Amino acid sequence: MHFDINSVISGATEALSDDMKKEGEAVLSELHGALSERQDILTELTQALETGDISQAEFEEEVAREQKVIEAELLTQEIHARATIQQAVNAVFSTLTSSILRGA
Amino acid sequence: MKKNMMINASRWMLMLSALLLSACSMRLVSEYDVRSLEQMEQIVQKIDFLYLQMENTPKAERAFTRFQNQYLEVMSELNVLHLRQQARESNEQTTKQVKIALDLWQQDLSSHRAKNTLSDFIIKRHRAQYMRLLNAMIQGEQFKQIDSTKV
Repeated sequence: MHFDINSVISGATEALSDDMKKEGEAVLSELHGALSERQDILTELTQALETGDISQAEFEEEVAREQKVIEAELLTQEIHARATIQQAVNAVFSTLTSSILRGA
Repeated sequence: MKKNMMINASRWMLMLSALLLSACSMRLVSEYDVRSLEQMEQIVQKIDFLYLQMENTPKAERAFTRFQNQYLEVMSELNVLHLRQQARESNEQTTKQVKIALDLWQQDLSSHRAKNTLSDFIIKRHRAQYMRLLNAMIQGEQFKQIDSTKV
């Protein structure tokens, strides 16, 4: 029975890089969208301060809250990235073990 | 004969290694938990309803006591959700997200109690913030399905 480990590894890493590229682009696009939206929120807060809708203290509180919310949103991107890597690496190992079991 | 035995032994070792490899998988995020997702959806609904109620109440009538029970109900549900997240393996990110929500909620409860009213601007802002925060949690939980659906 012939078992070509090089070809198995090469196939598995190709699949991994395709997956990572696709999901990586999705993560970057989500991140970009999230950050540009936050710019509008900071502009809205500055305007509210200028028009007297909120006090200086409230403005500072709101900026601090906004940082916390952005942190939570970035944690979602971290989960996405981790889940993608986990899936890709486990897929490679799954392919490798199946090939070994077929070839042995 | 000896050579054949050696080859057979190597094959068995290879198969055993493969079986061991297939038994353990890498874990960077916790497993998808539908119960957590349902709790998050329930909390977002309660928060949204509370802010809608406050928005539709004249400013002079937005006393803290009028909404106190709803604040406490959400606080209790966030506490339960936080405990559940702490008990899950490889779940630091979601645990931190829930802790952020819990801290902000505690802050809002204290602030409303102290001022005994809320402006339209703050209601609008905080409602939108909680929607984003809970949506981030929900999306994060949904991303954990990536691993279980593709492998």
